[in-house]
Amino acid sequence: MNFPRTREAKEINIAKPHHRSLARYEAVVGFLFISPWILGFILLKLIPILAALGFSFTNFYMLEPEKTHFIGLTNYINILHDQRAGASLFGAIGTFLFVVPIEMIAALLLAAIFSSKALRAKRFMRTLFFLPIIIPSLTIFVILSGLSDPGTGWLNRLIFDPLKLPAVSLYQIFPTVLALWSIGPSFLILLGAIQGVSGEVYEAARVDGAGPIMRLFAITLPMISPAIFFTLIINMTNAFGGVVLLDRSLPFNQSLSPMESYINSQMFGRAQLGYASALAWVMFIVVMVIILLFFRSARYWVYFPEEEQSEEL
Amino acid sequence: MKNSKQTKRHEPSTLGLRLWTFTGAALLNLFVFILLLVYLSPLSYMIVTSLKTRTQLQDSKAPILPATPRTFEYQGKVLDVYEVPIGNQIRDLALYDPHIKYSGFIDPSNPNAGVIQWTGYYRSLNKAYTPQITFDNYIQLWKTIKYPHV
Repeated sequence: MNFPRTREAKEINIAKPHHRSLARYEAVVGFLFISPWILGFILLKLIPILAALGFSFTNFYMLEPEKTHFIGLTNYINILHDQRAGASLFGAIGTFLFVVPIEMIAALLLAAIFSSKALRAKRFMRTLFFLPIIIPSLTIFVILSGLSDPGTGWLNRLIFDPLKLPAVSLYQIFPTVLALWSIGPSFLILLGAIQGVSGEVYEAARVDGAGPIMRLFAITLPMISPAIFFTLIINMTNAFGGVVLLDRSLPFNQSLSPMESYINSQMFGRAQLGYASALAWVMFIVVMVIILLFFRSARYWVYFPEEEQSEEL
Repeated sequence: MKNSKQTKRHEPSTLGLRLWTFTGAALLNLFVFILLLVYLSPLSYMIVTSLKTRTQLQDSKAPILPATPRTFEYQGKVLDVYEVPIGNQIRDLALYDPHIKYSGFIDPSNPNAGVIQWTGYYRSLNKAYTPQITFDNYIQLWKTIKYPHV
């Protein structure tokens, strides 16, 4: 079939090779820019992750590496019989269920308050609310142990003793305070998202008679849902012991995540690299399943404007 | 004329609205300020604690703010000063002759008055403190840290 060769068609044919080479050039440049990250990811993450998968099928004992041999699924079967492994896994899930909602709600409320135009000295106060994130966990532990001391701590002397309430212990408040003192990054992300919502949308809602509560639930929350989703994922990963944004600077075997602590104790305390690798893979699978569930649920509650536009097209 | 009357009629409501907005803003700022104080209270505790002496930290009845225990020198001896309830008042007296069931005290403001006897166990009394901050902890830290190694 012969199509009439118009001037436009000629131009397209002439332009095509040039366009292709430009796209290839851009792809190469883009690849070069991200290549340090890709290299780092392959060398420092992907290879160790795959190596850990390999080790999980062996009896790798770090003090006698020459005796290492393939043992199949024995490590994974041992995990099923290991009560401490089960307790630490459920402990990690419990930490996630307790800490993440506190962090999310506190960060969201604070971001909503800071988006108000009536608030003064915002920059100064924003810095102060962000400040605790730079304090290492061990230091927080020391501060709170003093704060909740039954004899000299402020909590008991100023609040619980005068109210004749039973004294509060360190372990009762530590997870909550640590969660509240970790809201800095989430707070800033959510605040940025709230400030990014167009004022015209609020104005239109105000004209239609929507009050502050209605505006929060009908406009703000849906519009910032991608930021909420992102902070939810990073907080969840942090709760399981992964470091996403800011490290709390804990030594290897003093992690706050029970599962991660148990893996570290098996690896650095008992030198059982094979068993520790199997535990790490179990935790990895659990975290991945939860993340996948979040991503599956995202289509019902997260607003992605790009997807909506592509559907319209 | 008609317009100015209308403007006058609206003035109180505008003022009311401005007052309402101002009150709302003031309450919001007050709330955030209190929230910030509570949020950073562990840090305040840490700072205040760093300005205390070890003696104060070991005393569960010591004041919350940095202070040092009061002492009184009597006949060449350094005596601790306690808050002693005598009659309807609490007097700051120096412990001179400690016993389990009764103790002898000296009044630092009038040491020539002699020993005042008080019935009770002296350890149940609170020590008298004088507000005072100390930088000893920072000095100790400065000496302990080996900066070239850090």
